[in-house]
Amino acid sequence: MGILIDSGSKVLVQGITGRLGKKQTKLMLEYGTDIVAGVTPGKGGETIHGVPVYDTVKESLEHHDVDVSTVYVPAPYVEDAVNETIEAGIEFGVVISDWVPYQDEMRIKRAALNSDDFRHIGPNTPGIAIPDEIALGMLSSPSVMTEGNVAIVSRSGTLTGEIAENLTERGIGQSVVMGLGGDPIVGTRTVEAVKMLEEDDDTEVIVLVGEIGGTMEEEASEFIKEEGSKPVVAFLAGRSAPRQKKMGHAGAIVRGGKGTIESKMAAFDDAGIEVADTIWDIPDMVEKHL
Amino acid sequence: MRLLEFEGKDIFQGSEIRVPERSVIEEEKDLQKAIDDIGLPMVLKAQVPAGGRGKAGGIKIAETESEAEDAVGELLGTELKGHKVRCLLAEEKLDIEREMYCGIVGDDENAAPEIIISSEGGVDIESIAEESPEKIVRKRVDPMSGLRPYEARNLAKELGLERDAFRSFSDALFKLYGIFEAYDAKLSEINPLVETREGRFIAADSKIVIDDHSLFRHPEFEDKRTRYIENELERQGSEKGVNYVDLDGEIAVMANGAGLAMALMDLISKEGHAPAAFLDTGGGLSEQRMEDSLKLLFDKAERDEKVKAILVNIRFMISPPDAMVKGFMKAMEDRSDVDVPVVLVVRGRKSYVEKAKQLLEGTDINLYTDVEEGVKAAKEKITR
Repeated sequence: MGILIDSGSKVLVQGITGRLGKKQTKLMLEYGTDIVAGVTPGKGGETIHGVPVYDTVKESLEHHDVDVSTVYVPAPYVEDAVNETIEAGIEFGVVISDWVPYQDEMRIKRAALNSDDFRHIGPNTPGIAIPDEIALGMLSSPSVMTEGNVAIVSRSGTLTGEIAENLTERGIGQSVVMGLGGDPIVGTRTVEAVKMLEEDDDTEVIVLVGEIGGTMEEEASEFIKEEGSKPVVAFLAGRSAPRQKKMGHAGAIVRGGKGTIESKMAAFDDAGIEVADTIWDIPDMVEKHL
Repeated sequence: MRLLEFEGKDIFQGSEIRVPERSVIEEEKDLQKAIDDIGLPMVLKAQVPAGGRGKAGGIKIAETESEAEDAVGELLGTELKGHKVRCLLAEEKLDIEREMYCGIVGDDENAAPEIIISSEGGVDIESIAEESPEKIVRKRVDPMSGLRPYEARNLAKELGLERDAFRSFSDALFKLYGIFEAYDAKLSEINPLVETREGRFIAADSKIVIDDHSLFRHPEFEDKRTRYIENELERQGSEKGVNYVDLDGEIAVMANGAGLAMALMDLISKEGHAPAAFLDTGGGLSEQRMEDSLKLLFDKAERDEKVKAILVNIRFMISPPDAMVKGFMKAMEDRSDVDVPVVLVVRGRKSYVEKAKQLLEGTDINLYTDVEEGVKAAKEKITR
């Protein structure tokens, strides 16, 4: 089951003829993802790995049903591409592109909030996968993930894969593996993902991977404390990083005491969330809850 | 990137926000022109991209020509707030009646610009927020429609401003919002916005932080992006498009992702060691970027004898390992003069990991496919 997507999801790839889009389309198809169409303005009529390409999203929808669009267009065109997704009525967007300007992200998020039924993850997300069913984005390595009952929700791209792989090596499968995106403004915040996972019957344990900066971990902890019924294991990247050094992604601003390691650790503690010292401790901690 | 005060003021002037009479001093001989333009007394302000310059001694008032000469001599070329002072801003001395605050900052959580204004200014807004929160007015703006002139007027009214102050403040706020949008700022701030005794309203300082991701729209700033990164290796990293942070430990850490590199640092710290450097190569690792990155760590090891090992962790997601291995080997060969052991951990997509192992067969690279084993190996290199 999982959340947001399932094995039946029909997928569009915006930016399918680009270097990244082309490469990932092949890997997603190999994983078993049902990619029905691609879009690149000016490349309509071509095919990429057997997938028909259209000039516009609207045109692609005249020929195919689409449930979700993965967006690979270069940063300067992302805002326009996501607006096109929303306008066409597609309900879910996975925005892989990175280096999207901050104010563009602001307007993308605003457009998403203004539309009643559109949700996105990213920008700068590695993607989302329901192991052994469907993979969108870069999380398409079959050996890394396996079907199971642990959900991974992460702000860090490479860590998402590393944690999934460590669990898989331990024989612990995943219900959902998702990256929220490393930028300060993301389509789906940690708390929203946790709420969906709370409702998901296939998820027994939630692994939350946070970073310093922003308030997403504090917000999620509050919900988990009040309404969460499932065990949560958390990890915060950068606990040993010296202060005053910008190492994370966009280095979200620490505001009003929130966003610091201390604030996040306190929030986790208050909500009864166990925190792993290193990501390699996570499998042990998760195993106890299964 | 944070602009210097005088660059921000040039932008203010272009948007018709009033700024002091001013002149930039890059070398001592520029002072005479500044005195001719502005007259005396004048204020000499060190131009570095950091706050708290006044307290740190970076702002001096000169009543006479010889005082001005002394100030220029003292300030130019010194270090202030971790930066070398490369130029000064000479300005007319304002006769201050009162100071106000006017700022716009991106609010991540709500995905909207937030206006923050105060009838008090001159100190940083966090202190005002702490000491007299009642003097601050905040308002989120819909980024789709932007700030409208009447909204700026309503906000100025909320601060309790009347007459000239009301007109000048709302006008400056509206223009500052325009700058925030036009320059893809993450922050734009006038602090203080000064009312002088003769009734002028002037932006006495500027702070503009431009979003690095937006520089393709602002090419005029591209070559200025790395100029105030004072650590040479950090600057080189930034110029090459990788995130390098210079640290002070024994193991230099590199990974193709910020989270992963930080997690490695956590593991090293847990093992009782300190990271010597943090390097995030970013995604889509090309041969060139791999080579540049590893060479940067060799440079670090060459300069800092405390560095006892380099630990590289590459996760293969979507790119085959060929380019990465090529760049890695190139750096290893070119910098074989630096005597520091390198441990490489490769993980991720199985077929790519196997391919990488194949490509590296026959070399004497310390290759691991398990991170904890890799860290142990790096640790052994230290204690050996």
